[in-house]
Amino acid sequence: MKRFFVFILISVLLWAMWFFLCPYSLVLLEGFDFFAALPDFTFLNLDIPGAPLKYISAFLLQFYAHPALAAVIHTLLPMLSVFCIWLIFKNVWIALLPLPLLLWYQTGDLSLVPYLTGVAVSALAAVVYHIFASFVRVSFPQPKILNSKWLGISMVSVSVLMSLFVIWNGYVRNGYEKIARLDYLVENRMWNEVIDSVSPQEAGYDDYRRKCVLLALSETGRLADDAFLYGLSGSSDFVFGNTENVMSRNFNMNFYSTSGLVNPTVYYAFQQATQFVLGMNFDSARCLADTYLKVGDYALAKKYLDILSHSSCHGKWVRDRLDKLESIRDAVPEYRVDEKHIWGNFVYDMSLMHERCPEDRRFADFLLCALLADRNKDLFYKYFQDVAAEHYQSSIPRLYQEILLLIAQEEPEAASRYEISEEVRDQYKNFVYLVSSGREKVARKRYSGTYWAYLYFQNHKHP
Amino acid sequence: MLEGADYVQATLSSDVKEILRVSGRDGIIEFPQSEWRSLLDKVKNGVISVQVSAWNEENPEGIMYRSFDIKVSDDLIDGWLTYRLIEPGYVEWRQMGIYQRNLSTFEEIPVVTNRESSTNCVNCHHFPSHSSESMMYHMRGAGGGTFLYDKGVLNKIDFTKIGPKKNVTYPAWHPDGGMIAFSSNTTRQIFYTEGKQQVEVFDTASDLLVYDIHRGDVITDSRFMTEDVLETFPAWSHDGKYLYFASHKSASLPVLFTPDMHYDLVRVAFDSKTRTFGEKVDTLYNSRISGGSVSHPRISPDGRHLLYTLADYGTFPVWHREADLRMMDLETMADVDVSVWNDCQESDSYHSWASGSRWVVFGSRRLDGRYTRLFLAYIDEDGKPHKPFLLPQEDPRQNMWRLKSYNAPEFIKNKIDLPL
Repeated sequence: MKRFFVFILISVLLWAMWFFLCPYSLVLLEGFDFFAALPDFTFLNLDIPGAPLKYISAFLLQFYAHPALAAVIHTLLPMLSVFCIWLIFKNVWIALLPLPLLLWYQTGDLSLVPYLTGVAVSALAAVVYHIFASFVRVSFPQPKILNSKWLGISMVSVSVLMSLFVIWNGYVRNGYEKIARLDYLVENRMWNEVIDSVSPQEAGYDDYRRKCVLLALSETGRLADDAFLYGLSGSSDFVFGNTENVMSRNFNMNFYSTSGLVNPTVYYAFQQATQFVLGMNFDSARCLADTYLKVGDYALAKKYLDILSHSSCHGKWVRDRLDKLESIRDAVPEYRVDEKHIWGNFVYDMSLMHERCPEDRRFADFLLCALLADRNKDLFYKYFQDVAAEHYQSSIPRLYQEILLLIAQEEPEAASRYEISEEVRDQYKNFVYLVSSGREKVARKRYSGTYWAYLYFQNHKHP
Repeated sequence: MLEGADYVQATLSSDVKEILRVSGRDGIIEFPQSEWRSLLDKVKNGVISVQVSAWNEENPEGIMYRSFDIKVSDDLIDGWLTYRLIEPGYVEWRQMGIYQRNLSTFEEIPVVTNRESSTNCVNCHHFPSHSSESMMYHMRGAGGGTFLYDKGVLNKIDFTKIGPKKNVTYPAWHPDGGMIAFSSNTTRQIFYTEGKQQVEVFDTASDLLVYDIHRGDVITDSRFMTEDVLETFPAWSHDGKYLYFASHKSASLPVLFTPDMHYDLVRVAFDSKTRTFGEKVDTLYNSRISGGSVSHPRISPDGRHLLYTLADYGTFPVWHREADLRMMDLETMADVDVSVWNDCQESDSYHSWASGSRWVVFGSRRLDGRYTRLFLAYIDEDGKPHKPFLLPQEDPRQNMWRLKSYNAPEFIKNKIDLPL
């Protein structure tokens, strides 16, 4: 009885570790996998090496959308291996020895195959042992010392501590959980939480965090105030150019989906999906379903909703969208079919989108901030004059005021045509004073998020 | 399949006599295979009239739909159909392969897949005269190359080491079985920000060459190896005396795609004994005069018809929604109206003939605009095309649920077993 109490206690400890310290790392796994109770899914799965384990893994990962349940599965699988080993040795601490190893083996894997391999091997060993033992009396010689109470307590403690360390080291210490949380927040459009969870310093050195926070700033209307505070350093900072890993593809998919650019969204959804065994994952399938619902493409929206309805955990998700699906049954999809433009250059894409949707301030801000970051003052001023009346009549965002002050040095009407606050003017005077008097450190600290600081400290030139 | 129906019933009759009644739930009717086969035997060369009725909560008394006819041909179709299954994505892929489908049942078996690597691309398979005794396919990626299965042996041919040392792309097996014509394409893609056509696939270079299987060497003709003319999609005439292909000549070939790329349909004589091409290149479809751009010419095995795809421009019609099938009568050189095979909204493209020249398979995106599905179509002895039908599935929803596109369908008479 005591030994089962130990197993339960360790299971609760592991569950708590997963649930409280790494919930988003587990939720991330659900989005990156796919399961559907469809004949094609089974048929194609059978042709993949290691098919049974991958199939079971895909089935279980569906439930990872719920962190508590995910933590249960993520605890039970290694504990099942431990239990199978205990069935052979009947010794708790020996059974617990492989636990840290199993957890380490699973760390960073996007499927549950490492865990399931552990379960399969240990279960097979237990079955073989018991079949063998039913014919021949088998007993492992266990020296007395191995059954010593204090050795047992020590070894159990070491195994448990090592296990906890493996989880902490593999998910928390290296920032994996933070990245997974950001991915979750971006996917669920929780923009204020994104901004709150990324510090300007983190955004400065981490490409992924910077992109997430810049998107969040755009969605909350703060891009033109705080972009440089969060490390904007070029027009390539908004989306990933190199999308070789799953996080960058996922981000680009979410970026374009949020911005409403259908083709790049679909492109990245497919690119993201091809990272996974059968060329589809839940993140991509959900994104594609929502994108086609938004566009009014009934056939494709229905396809993805139908497919998702054959997974075990998307019943409500699909039901929530059936009214919308019904409403577009006879709609003509809203694909813009004017001139064909090749996408890939952020400034060009945003200028195009700004032209298409002049009422959408996000495209204007993306374009203007990208031009600021690329130090393209002339093109900035050209576009700014076009959009100012539409978007910045009531108040001009801080970064634009800052560059308008610089433009006014060559074109004085810039300062008279557009309202630049006294506060910004005073700050600029102070910034110039600090820099020209050699107090650059103070200037950098006090005006770190300004466009002047960006220009000066990136180029070491006087603004 | 009837969407929204709880209960559905189909009554099949011939000569006003009921011959089969089948019912099903959730809008699905499955015909028992043995009964379906015996029914086809009974009504060979005749007409089956189908009356469908459906019931649901809103219509508890049922709705009877207008009946429609199925004409049963006595021209047999080849026993198996091969195709590639791949996501209709863009740059990358994951699981993919060439599969074969038994057309008398619903059996689908892999021919060759990328199961071991998950990164290799398997594509462009072809057979000599619909025979499963030989086959060729390309595999791109590590350990890849062009694979030739012949006389029970699977060999890899490294085209980068023979002849002009160029990788090969679209194949056409000579009817004699001893040669395969290839185009060698340098292919690029660009992506559009807006519009339902999301991608443009185009060639920046493409030439023609012929691989002699027995000698293991490559036949080239300097006229078809130039940089200023793009030649692609080779196809042999039924007697192997002509090589048809699509050709685009431009003063300056694009580094990036321009919508001015229009491909003509041309042919050149070929003597397989002397291994030489004729002097004259005939233009059968002049895109400058008639507009559009030709791809995928395919000649019926009886030599009577030439089926091709016509898009507004370019060389990759599967992404062109306006792309449609066109057919030419090679005896009269007149157009044959195959509009009954085409969908006016979505792409109809990659097609091939069955060995009897009465059946055609082609890919169409008409179901949802993105996932290519296969359609079988009949053409009678008078050259009249009949309404196509979707490749039958055991559960018709499979055509919607499948997350892969069908690609490059080819008929074969028997099942193929590669020694993999």
